[in-house]
Amino acid sequence: MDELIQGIYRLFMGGENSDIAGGIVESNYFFPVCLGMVLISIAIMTVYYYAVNSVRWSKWFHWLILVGIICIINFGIAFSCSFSESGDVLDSVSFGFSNAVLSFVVSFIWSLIIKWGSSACRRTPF
Amino acid sequence: MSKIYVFGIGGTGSRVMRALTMLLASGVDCKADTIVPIIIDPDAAGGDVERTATLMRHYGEVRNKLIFSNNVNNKFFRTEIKEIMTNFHLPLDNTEDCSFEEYMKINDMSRENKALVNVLFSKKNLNSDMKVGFKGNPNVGSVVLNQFEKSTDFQNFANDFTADDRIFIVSSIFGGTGASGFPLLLKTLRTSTDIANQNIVNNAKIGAVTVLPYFKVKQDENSSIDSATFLSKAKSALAYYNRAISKNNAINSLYYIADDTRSTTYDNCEGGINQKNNAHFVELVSALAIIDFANSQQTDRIVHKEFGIETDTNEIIFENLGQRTRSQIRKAMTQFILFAKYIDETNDYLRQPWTIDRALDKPFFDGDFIRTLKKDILLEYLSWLKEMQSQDRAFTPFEIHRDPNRVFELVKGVNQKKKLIDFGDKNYDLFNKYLNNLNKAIDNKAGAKEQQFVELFYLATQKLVKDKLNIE
Repeated sequence: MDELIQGIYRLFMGGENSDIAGGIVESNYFFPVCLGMVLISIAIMTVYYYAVNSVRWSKWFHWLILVGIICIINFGIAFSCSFSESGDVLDSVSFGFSNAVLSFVVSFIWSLIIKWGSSACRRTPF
Repeated sequence: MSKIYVFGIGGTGSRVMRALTMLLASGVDCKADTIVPIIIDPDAAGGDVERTATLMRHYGEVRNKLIFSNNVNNKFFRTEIKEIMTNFHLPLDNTEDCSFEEYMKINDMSRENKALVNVLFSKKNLNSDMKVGFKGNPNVGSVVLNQFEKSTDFQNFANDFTADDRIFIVSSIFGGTGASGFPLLLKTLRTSTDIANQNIVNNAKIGAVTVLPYFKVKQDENSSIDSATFLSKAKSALAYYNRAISKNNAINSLYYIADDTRSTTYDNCEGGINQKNNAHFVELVSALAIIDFANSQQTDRIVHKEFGIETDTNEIIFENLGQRTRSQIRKAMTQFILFAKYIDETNDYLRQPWTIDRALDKPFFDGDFIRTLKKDILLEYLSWLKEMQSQDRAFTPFEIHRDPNRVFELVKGVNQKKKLIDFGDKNYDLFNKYLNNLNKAIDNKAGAKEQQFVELFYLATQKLVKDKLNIE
């Protein structure tokens, strides 16, 4: 599982042979950061579609802004975890960027799965 | 019960039919399945007649696209308004392009008869052109309207009439056409022998509303209509009705409606296209008489009814009406005004799930159904309400405004339910939320788009008025 997650993250961090992720691998942050990213993305999107479920906030750009916020949060989490451990800015930005891109993908896929159950946002983002 | 044939006589008859159409469009409960309007007015091109006939035709066009089976909740347009005569109008022969003198063929009369005619009718009466009605002269009307029985359309009506059907007559007592037409029509219905279904028609349950003076016209020396004579004419007619109708048990229910304020003053117009008076609360109440007649058990004993409001005020709101009337019309009228305002004031529905899911697309919203519904019914409904609000004795239950930030501040005397902290949807967003929720709740996406559209709006407005305005 760890290897799979690492592989996915590495896709956005310069590939398999990149040294950038070395520090993160050593500190074993891939799995908890990934788990946190998935849970945060799912939780926020679920709240958006079912708890908020608002006509006022149902336009495609509202959804995009929300996904942007999710990406920023996940970027921040990954960046801070990595930076506190390695102190390497480039390494941490790269890890944060990967986490943000993956959170976008998770949010997007989760949106497509759950939007049909929402009354107001079932056609958001399209 | 099956049908009620409503004879609307004269300008008031047409205006009451207009009010009835608005009430039925809004879904006020009427136990009759079908209303068959028959307008009797020599002034066929009159503004009031034309406007009402057009409205009823459009009502029919919209209703034709809807179905009303047992699993349908929608009450908008539930009662059918059936057109059995062209333009809902019972034509009167030989009233166009001839004077009353020519109609009577006075030149062919004997000397004695001519003398009698001259006693009964003034020179002005005899010279009057009947194209625009009888201009407040019931003595003229009582002669000309004596031709009902022979007309083909009247024979067709009798032919159509069944034992379960009822008849209602709407007329004013202070003009010419209505005052003379009502007793004549009643006599024809009760005693006519040369018609199909004679026995059924003669013994039919018949109701009528007699509208007493409720407006004045401006003084005009060149006009035959003088509102100073309205009261004296009404008194004479009432005495006659008492003698010839009430005491003879010629009718089952007789409704009287009057407004002694009579401060509403219209332009003095003898008839024609310019005779288009603004709607008035009295006409709405007269239309309610028709619904009351439809909903009541009728006995052989004559019943007289009057209408009153709880508080005498010049600005009537729902709270001023009696409990029964209030519960009869408040919910339906509020639902319909919400429907009208949504269609009139919003334009972002095409991206809402309730339209996308049901393929209610741009061609649908640009099509004939929505165009007729919006322009010819819903906007007309708003105009009708505004007209009633503009009268001196105003019926003004709604705050009609176009402020999208206070959509539900609508019914006067009813406060909108508000939460202490509310981050949810408001105004038209809330309206769309209800439409979307119902869109999801109602699985059935089969059936015509028009049917789905009206059903959704009926249910959404019903829930909105309950949740936001506490009106049930």
